[in-house]
Amino acid sequence: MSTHRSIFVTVGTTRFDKLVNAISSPDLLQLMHDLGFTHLSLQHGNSIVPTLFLPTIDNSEATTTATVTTIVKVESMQIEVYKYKASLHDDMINADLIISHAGAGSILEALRLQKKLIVVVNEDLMDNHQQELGSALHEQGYLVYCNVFRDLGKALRDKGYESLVPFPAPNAKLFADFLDEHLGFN
Amino acid sequence: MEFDSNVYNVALAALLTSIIVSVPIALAVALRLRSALPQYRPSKKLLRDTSVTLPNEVTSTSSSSSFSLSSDKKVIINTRGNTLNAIKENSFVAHTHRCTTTIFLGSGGHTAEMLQLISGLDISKYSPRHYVVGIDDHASVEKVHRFESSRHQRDVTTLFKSLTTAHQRQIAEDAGHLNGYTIHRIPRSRHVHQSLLTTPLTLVKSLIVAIPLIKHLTFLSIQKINHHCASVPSQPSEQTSLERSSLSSSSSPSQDLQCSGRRSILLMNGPGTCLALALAVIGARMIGISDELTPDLVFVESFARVQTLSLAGKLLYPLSDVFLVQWPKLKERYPRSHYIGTLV
Repeated sequence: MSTHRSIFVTVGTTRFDKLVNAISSPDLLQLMHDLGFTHLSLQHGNSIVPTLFLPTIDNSEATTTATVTTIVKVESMQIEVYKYKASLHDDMINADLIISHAGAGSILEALRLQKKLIVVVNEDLMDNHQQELGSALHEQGYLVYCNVFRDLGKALRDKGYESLVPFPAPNAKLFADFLDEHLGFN
Repeated sequence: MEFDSNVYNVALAALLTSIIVSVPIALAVALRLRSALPQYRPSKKLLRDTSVTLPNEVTSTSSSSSFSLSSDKKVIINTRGNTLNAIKENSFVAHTHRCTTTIFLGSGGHTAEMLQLISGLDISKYSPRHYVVGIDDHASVEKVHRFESSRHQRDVTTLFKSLTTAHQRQIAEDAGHLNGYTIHRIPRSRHVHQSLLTTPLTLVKSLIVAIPLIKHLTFLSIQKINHHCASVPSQPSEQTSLERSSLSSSSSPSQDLQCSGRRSILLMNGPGTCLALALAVIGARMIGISDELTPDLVFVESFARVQTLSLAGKLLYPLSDVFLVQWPKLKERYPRSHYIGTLV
């Protein structure tokens, strides 16, 4: 197959078992495959890795080391699983679709790269303000926002991520002009 | 029994005395604090009177100080157009177009947002720049070096520290004014997961560093300007003796205007450690240091905050001269804040 379309799933430094589990479910993998995705990168942070994604040999060692990357092939999808990397930037750049936890850092990084983004809220974390950012950006059409992890399949099927509003580039002049005005530098 | 009642009486007397002593002190402190807070301050540093009109030729020299102009000072400016024009030729005037900029970098996402914020600033106006980072925050220091070297700026921190004599410091200062930045370290007020009970202790630790730091960063520059101001009247040779005498006889208001032209700001966006810096500035105002000598406190709430302020934001909202939010809902809830759009 010549087309290379990849999904990048990131949970940052949090523990988000529900998302990792949902991603590893055969239904969802099949759905991703049907949607034309060929590659999946899963950055699972502190979440428990489903057995499906564990390497066949040297289980324990591979999963305890943060830098080790496991590559498995499930449902004809090439799947790369790792705990964390020094920078997720490269994986973000390479992705055609990013599925992220609601962390502000991840959201902003993905939007800055003009990536299609699905944000999945972790209801086990009671950190409200992060959910606020996700839903506020969703209201403006910059990203797809799933409230419950079961919605993820629906969010993928509906292809809402195909018609997102491009996130505007940062306008550094805005703040500079404001400060100039305040200080009388005009 | 008698002994007991004696103890009781002494305790009562001590209590009454302490109340009598502490209540006026507390009241006085509260009044000072009130006068130091931006929303109650009579001089209204942040609400510059923009309606003040200046003759065209002096606008550029004094525009940066127009925030403190009252109507009588305006008259002085008008009659001294020529004098100011002469002063404009002097080198120090260039400094009045500059703003000593102290930038607090909170680490991680805070640092990234702050560097994005200041990326649009004209470095020739906002100089020298002093970065204040957490004592163990090496990543932010690294980012500052990368950020500044992309603009061909030099780190003059070590130059600053190794110098002991005033003359050497002066040279270093000049280097900083030309093209440079300095990095200063401050202990964190609150570590991640630190209990709220011990936070005051660590805050005091930060304050012990913050107070002399603020004093050093802002007052040093002002002293330099004052030094320049003092030498101004004797320098312009083309001035007539009449002008010169009139300048010296009533020079203090116009000089003050010129000297106060040098602005300074303190940019913060959290987390809590920046409270120590802000408190140092508020403290300076409380003991009566004039508005012109203390930096404007500018706080920018994170883009991640949509409906509620961060802890640092809540603490700094009453203290800040300028409080920026990045979501309209916050502007509605906090009327003193400014919303000018997404900044990062």
